[in-house]
Amino acid sequence: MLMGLIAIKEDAMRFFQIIILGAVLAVPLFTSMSSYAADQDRFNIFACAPEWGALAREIGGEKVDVFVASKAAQDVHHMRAKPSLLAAMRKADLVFCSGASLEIGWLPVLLNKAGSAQVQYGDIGSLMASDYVERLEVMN
Amino acid sequence: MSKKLLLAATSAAVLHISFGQTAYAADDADIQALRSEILSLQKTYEQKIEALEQKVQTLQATAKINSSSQVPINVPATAQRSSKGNSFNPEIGVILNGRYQNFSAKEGDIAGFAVGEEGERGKEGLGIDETELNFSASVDDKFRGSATIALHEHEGETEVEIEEAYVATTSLPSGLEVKVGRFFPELGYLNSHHSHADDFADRPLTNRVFLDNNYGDDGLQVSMVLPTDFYSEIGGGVFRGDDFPAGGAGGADIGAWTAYGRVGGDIGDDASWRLGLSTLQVRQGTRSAQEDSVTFQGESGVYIADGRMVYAPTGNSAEQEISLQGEYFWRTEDGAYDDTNAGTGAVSYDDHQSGWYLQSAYKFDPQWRVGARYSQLYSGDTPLGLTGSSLDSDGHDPWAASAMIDWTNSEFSRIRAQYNYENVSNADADNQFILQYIMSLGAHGAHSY
Repeated sequence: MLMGLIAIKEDAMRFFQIIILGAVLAVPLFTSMSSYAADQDRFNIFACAPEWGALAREIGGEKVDVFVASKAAQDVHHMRAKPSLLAAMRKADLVFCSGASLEIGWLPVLLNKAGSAQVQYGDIGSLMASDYVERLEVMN
Repeated sequence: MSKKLLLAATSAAVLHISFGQTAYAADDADIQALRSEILSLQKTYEQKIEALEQKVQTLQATAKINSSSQVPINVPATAQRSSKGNSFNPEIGVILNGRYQNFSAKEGDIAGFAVGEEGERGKEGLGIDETELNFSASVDDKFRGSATIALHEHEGETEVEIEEAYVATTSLPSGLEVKVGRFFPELGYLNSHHSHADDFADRPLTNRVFLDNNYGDDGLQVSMVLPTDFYSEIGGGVFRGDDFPAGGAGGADIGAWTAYGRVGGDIGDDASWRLGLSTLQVRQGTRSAQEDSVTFQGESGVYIADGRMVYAPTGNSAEQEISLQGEYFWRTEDGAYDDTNAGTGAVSYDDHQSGWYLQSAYKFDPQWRVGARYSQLYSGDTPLGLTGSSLDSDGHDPWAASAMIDWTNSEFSRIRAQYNYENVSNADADNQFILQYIMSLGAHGAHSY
């Protein structure tokens, strides 16, 4: 009987530990979710490099919100799928990148984990610049 | 002769002048008309030629565009072919690694802990580590799959181990991902990463002791990137309970389950961070360790707090990069330990242990890195019945310090030299020297943060 009560107490303690974990995470969540909902109404573009971001802003103007994944000084090929990119990918309606395996080190992770169906490679929301130019020196 | 010529010339001249003048005078208007006709004809033809030339130009231009792409209404075939592994062209990679190890202490047992097979010290001398084959591809437009098969030798026999074999969704809405099969669940920072991608040649004491290097199991995991401006993710999984620290699936029940939550973001342009809390709860089972000489029967729970920060001093992490990473572990166990070597019999154990590690790696050159790591374990009090067994820490809290330097020629090759000072028991400290190579053939998939 005593062992049973102790077992229940242990289970309850564990349960509460998990609940507290959840509550701690929930507080900053709710504060951020309201501004996020407003963002979702806009057309969100995830651009991998500053040049694509500039082009997207030029074409889209006021109608689009552009997130640029890298700065000019960064090496796009050797970047990593860092947390801020996952958050930005989640709300992306269009992914605008170079393709041709330039972003192969990190973009697939973002697409798999946070990308919606329409931004996956080959779908309507995936714009890879290298698909629309004549590629030179392609290995086969 | 000259006279005839002169006559001819003069008569020709006279004729020309008389006729020419009259002709000119007579057709002036006609010539004007002719002239303007010719000019207008010229103009018309010039316009026509210009128009034709333009047409040819535009036709050539559109022909060029059409030849190098397809009208992007549905799926541009070039995109799919070049960007990812598909069922006809999976990404195949092989990890080849090996090492030379030299220890100063005869025994590497960690006092106060019953360690599983993977978490042990390893063999001295030259030898290859696990040879890993990885196949990854998209299954179709909604799923992707990956299998990692490790070949290693254990006591003279080559073992084939399915390290990971899972399928995952790729395009669920709302930042969801479901992963099912055998895989390393998200637990703290290191658990979901393969050892060959680590910053050090071995795992810290905490991961060796509490998770047997990697906890990998058969099950299902759901994760969700939350709709927040900063990065936040929650997830959890249910598992069979086959791998240490789970005890081996007893019945049809869920043997173990996990839950985790993470937040992360950027600091300025050059730094990023991620913090997480996670837990692994193991239900009733029997777990053996310490070369099968120690068994634990009961429940256990591992709680991990992890953090990682990466900073690129020049703004380009390919040039220079500093990382700081640490995890804190807390394990509760409620059951009974039995050390057959020490002949303790089943001794009831209801206590906790803890530990932490902190490591930093500094890439000071695109190809060179140095790193330092410290790990510490607290074994808790030894119950009377387990005195003298593997669970007896003899008042010693194990700790280890490591320093490493590695040369990464490309994302496919790395050579590392590492020195460990391990003070894991009251016996003499262990000075370890490790020299290893880690190389990969074929596709090298994307790594997560």
